[in-house]
Amino acid sequence: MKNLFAVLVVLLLVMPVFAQGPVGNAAAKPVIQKLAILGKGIATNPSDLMDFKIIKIGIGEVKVSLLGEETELVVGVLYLDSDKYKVKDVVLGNGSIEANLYSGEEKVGSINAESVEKEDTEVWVGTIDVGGATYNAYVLGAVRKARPLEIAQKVRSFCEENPTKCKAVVKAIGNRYCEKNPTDPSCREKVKSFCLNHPDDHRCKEIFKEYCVDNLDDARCRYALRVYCKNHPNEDRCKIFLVQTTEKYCLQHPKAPACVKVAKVRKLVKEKIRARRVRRLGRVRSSQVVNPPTTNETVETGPEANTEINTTNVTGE
Amino acid sequence: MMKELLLLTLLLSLIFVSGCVQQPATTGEATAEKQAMDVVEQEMNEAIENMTMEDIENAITE
Repeated sequence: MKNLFAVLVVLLLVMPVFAQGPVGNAAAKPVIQKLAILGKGIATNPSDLMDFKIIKIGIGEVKVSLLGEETELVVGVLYLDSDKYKVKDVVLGNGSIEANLYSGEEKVGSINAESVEKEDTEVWVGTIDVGGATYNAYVLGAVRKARPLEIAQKVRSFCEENPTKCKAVVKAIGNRYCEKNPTDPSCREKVKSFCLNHPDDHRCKEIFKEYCVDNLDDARCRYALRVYCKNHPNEDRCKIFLVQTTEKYCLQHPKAPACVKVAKVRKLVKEKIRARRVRRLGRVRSSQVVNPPTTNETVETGPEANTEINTTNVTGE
Repeated sequence: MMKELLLLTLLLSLIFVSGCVQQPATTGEATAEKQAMDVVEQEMNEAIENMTMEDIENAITE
């Protein structure tokens, strides 16, 4: 009897430890892959002047490790005054976002918005359908700088895919072996470490900007290029930035003052944008990343033609 | 006395263990989604905290 009692006491103490399962994996911190939109603004009901709401919105792509499995989710939150909604079923485009709104597990509405650059500020304009009403929504994009670790990680992944474009930053780490073997994984880690410790080094910043041209659905990239392009408007990547971030808005509002300027620039970089997209799609298809569709890109094939390509399984990484 | 103690320990064990054992298969997806949303919400709150037009202007002209 005493033995049985002792065994039970031991079991009582030990069982919770096993019952918790793999603690390490479950507690892994979620990692932000992209921040599509962060901002706040106002939603107005066009049929009732006094029916307006303060908007706070954040949408991003997050990698979550749970019980040993990695999942990438594109989700967000939307506040209309104090009412909180989950943002799911997100489709990101060039300067556009479409998503559904959920309260708990119930779908209660949707959001549809396009971005336009006005006076160095990113503004998201669109509509929010919720509670039987349609609101016109205006959201000012918040400033979100890329952190040193984020820059280092993006530089590392860019150099993995484009070793020939990374010669300067590889040289910066001052390692002869890496200069001769830039594709060696240990050298990419050295590049990451260098950029983590020197986030303001012009070579790291240069690679980060190059990464950003192909990842304009990330608010950190848009901010980096917005700042840079203020002083370098004639560079190709700045023209690409201008064209792509306003693409959806300007397709629908070609006569808007902001879009008249964009239309001239678009003609100059149309082919370069197309070539970049084709290269990027090629990389994505070969990487076989399993993900839900998050991007809806438009590739121009002629002066007037616009072909919608639904790029499923795109992570931009 | 020993018998009561044994029964009590057995009962406590059952309650304790049933409370600790999770059902990851059914809650995993919701937990991942919640974690992701929490991270995005935190970023959103940090980014828009005290956001003004001046903040945006200063950040761009710095």
